[in-house]
Amino acid sequence: MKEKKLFDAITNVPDSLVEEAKNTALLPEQRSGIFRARFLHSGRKRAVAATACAVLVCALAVLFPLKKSTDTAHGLIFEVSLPRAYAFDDYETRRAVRDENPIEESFFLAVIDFSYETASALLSGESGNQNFSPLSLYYALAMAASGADGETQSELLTLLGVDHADTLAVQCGNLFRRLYRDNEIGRLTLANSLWIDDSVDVVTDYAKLAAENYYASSFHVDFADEDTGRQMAAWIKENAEGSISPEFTTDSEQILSIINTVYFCDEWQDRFNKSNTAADTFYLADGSEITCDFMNTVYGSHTFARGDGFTRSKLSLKNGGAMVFILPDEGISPYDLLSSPERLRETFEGGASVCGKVTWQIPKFSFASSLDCREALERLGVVSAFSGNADFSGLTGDAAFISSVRQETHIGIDENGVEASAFTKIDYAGAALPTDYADMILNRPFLYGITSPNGDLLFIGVCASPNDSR
Amino acid sequence: MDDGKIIELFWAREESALAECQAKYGPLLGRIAFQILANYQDSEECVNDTYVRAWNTIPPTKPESLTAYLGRIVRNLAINRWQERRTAKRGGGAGVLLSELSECVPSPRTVEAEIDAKLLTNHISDWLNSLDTDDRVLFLRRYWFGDALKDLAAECRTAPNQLAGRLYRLRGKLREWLERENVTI
Repeated sequence: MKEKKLFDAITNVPDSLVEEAKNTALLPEQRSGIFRARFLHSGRKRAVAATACAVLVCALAVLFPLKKSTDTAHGLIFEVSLPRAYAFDDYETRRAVRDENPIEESFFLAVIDFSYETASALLSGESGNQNFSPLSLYYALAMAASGADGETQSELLTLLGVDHADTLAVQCGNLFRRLYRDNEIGRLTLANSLWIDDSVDVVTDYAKLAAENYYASSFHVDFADEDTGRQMAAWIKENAEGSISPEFTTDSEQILSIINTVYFCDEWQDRFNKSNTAADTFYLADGSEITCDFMNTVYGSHTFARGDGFTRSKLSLKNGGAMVFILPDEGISPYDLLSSPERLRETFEGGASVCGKVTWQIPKFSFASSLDCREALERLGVVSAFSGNADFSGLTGDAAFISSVRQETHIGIDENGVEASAFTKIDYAGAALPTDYADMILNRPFLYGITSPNGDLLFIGVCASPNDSR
Repeated sequence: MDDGKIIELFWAREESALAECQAKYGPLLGRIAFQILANYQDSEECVNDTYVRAWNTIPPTKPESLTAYLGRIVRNLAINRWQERRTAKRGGGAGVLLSELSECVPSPRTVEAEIDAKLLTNHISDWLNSLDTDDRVLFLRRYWFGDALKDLAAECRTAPNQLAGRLYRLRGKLREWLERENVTI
C-alpha cells in the first residue's frame, strides 16, 4: 500500500523536525481575517444509529393533607448548568474529565449489581417488547436516598450498594460528569429535576445537594393545577429530544416528583450498508411469523461468546460504548435469561469468548415501553419508603412517602452512521485466521443492552416483535 | 520532569519512568492514536502498549527526543491496529490521513524497483527542509501528530477549508518533489 509507505516514511523523519513541529506555533494567516473556531451544536443533524431514552418519575405524596398556600411564587428555584460539552475528537478534555472525576471500583460494581438485580426483578415477569434503563432508576433512587433518613435511607442505600449517602452523592456527581456527552456524533445526557408543591418546604441543603451532585433543577409548582402535568411533560420532552411525550395527571395529594431522564444516541463504529437491508421473516414466541426489515453485515474477525443457552456479541459505538446483542438458543426465551440476577450476569458477562467470523442479521426496531417499578422495588427490600413510616426528613419537614415510581422509555436502531472512509484504495493486511464462527441471526426474540464507555448498563431490553411500537 | 531525567529513570529501571511518561506524554500520544483510530478504547490500549514498548527498548536505546521516540511507537502501533480493524471491517480515522497522503504518491517514470523505506524518509526530510518553517510545521502537525484540521485552522486563525487548500498545495509539492527525484513507491 503506497500511502502506508508514505505514512511510515513520515513517521521516521528526523527527531529535530518532530521537535520543531511540536514546539512551534503556526503563524496566523494574514488574508483570511479572524476565524473563530467553534463547536457547532445547534441545528446539527446527527446520523443516529441507536437512540434510547428513559424517563423515570418518582412521586412523593403527603401522608396527611396539607393546607395549600396561595401566595407562594411559582417557578424555578434552582437551575443547574450542565457540564461543558466537548467535541468528539477532543481527546485531552475527555481524558481530563475522566481524571477529574474518579469512580471508586466499589461504586462501579454497585451500579452493575443494581442493574442486574433491578432488570431481573422488573422484566422477568413481563412479555413482549421491553426496555429498561437501570441507570435512570439508580439516579432517581439515589436522589431519594440523599433526602431520606433512618430505615428508609438504609433500605435504599442497601439496594444501591453504597454505605453512605455522602459517598453516593459524590460518586453520582462524578459519574454524571464522566458519562455526559453532547458532541457532533452522539449524545448521552442525564437530566434530573425536582418538582415541589407550593405547600411544601424543601430543605434548602437538599435542593443545593441535588443541584450540585445530581444536576437537578428544582421547580415550585401547584400539583392541584392541571397545567403542572403539562409543564412536567414539556420538560421531559425537551430533555429527551422529543422522543418521549408522556401524559401526566397530577393530584393534590402529591407533594414532590423526582424526574430523571436519560437520553442516548450514537453511531455504529461501522455503519450498516442500507443497500444490504432486506425484508425477512422474524419468528415470534407464539410460533407465528412476521416480516420485517433486517440490517445485514459480516465481520471477518469479531469477538463473540457462547454460554449456557445463548450466543452474545456486540457492536461498538463511536463514543466508546457498545450495543450488546444476546441471541437465546432455540427454545429458550429472552425472559428465561432474565429470570435471576445471576443468570442475567452470566448472560452479559459469561460464556467462552472466541474470535471468528460473525454474520449479523439485526431487525430494525423502534418501540416505547412503560414500567411501574414499585412492586419490584418492594421485593428488592425498599419497603419503608412506600409506607407511612417513610422518613424523608432530609428532604422535607412534612411527612411524605413515595407513591409511585414509573419509568417510560423509547428505543430505536437503524443502519445510520458515518461512513468510515470514502477511500477505497487501501490494501488490507491479513487477519488472524478465524478459529470459529457465529451467526447472530436475530430472527427470534432476543435480549440487548447498551453500555456506556465506562461499562455501565444504560439500557437493558427485550425485542420480542420488531414491528410493534410498544 | 525533563526528558533527560525520564530517560535516566528508564535506564535505572525505575518504574516511575512510566508514570512520568504518562503524565507528560499521555495526552499527546492519545491524541496521535485517536486521530488514526477514531476509537477511544483502542487509542488508550495503544498508548499503554507504547509505555510497555518504551520500557522494553530503553535501555539499550537512548532517545534524543522522547517526543519523537514515543510518538513513532504510538503511530506504528496505531496504524497496525487500524489495519487489523480495517481487515475485520471496522473503520477508523487513518483512512482520512492516508487518503490525503495518496495525493503525494508520485507517478512512476521508470521501471526501477520500489524505493527503500529509509531512502524515502531521506527524500521526504529533504523536502521538508526545503520548506519555510511554517509550512514544515503545518505538514508535520497534520501528518505526523495527526492534528485535526479544525484545530490547526483555529491556531492559524483561518477557516478549515482555506487551510485544507494550503495542505492540498503542500501535498502537490511533495508529489512533484518525489517525481523530480525519480522516486517510485
